[in-house]
Amino acid sequence: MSNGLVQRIGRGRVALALPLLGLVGMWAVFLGAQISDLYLQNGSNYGNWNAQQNEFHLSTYLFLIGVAILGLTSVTARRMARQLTTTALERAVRGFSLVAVFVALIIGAVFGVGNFMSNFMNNPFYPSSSGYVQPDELKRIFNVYIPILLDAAIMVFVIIRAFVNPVDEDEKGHESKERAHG
Amino acid sequence: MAKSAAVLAQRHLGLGYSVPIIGGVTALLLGLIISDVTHTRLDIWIWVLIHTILGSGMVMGTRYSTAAYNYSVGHGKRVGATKGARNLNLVLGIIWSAAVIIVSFSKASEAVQKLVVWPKEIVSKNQVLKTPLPPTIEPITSLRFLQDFVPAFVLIVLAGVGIYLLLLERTRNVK
Repeated sequence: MSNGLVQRIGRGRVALALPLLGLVGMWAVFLGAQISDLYLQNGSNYGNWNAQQNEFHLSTYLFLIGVAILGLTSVTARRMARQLTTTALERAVRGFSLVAVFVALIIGAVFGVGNFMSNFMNNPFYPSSSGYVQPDELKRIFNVYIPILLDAAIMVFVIIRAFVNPVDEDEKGHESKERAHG
Repeated sequence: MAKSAAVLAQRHLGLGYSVPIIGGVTALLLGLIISDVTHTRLDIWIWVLIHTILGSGMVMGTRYSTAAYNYSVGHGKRVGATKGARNLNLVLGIIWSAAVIIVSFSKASEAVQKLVVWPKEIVSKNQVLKTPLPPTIEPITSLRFLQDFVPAFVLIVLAGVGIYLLLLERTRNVK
């Protein structure tokens, strides 16, 4: 975070604006994900999903990037706000950044479970003589397994950054005060 | 001097309770009038205007109620009514923010789905196509961009700015 910006408008206001900018960023990336999904909809009108299963789903990764943007901006705001206790705005920003972290974690959990549920029991096998397109297992790993792993990694990162050892090395001067506040 | 400050604080308290309601009524009536005059479903830009009026009312209400609260705290008065006004605006602000964010995401999704034109052929449920028919994806024209995508983006920005201002006003010079 630019120190100049922090000095100009204040640490509290920057910490307040960060999750909101993250929200706008997430919205834009989600829009891109939905547009990229348009080109994967071959046949979904008729319940035949084989063509989609064998395509690389860029949208899954874009949704993941959106979740990561909100998570990272929220956790950055949370860490900035940890030492803000002077004014009412700063105390409010502390609470707001905590809510933003929770919202980011909830969206991350919904993404992970949604990705699992939409792909669970959705990998049909057809005999080679049937003429249907066979599922591509490698694509499935990239479309389903890796996004779920990355989502879990982002959530663990956000939780650890937000709630475990929340004081940076250069901020240890405030550590005793933080502990006193619980 | 002290008396005029008290009168001003009373006025702020009244406005703190009434401005969000006035804003809400204004926004709803505006929507109804436009709907009745044009005999159409409301354009998304009208919704943007409605949400802007609603949000402005809540920001102003928060500003007034916080000013009244500051006076009460600063002069050792009872804070029950002023605190109530602040809490009312906080709750309304949270509901408004959530509604605008949800509308923004749903309008963006709607705008994307408008780009898809499904093929007209009817296929029975028992028939599974081995070679699926792809839908047609229409280009994003400047008109479509202005009518569908920009309003959804304006709504998410409005939500962000609204939340920012609501928190700033709620904590303005609070003791």
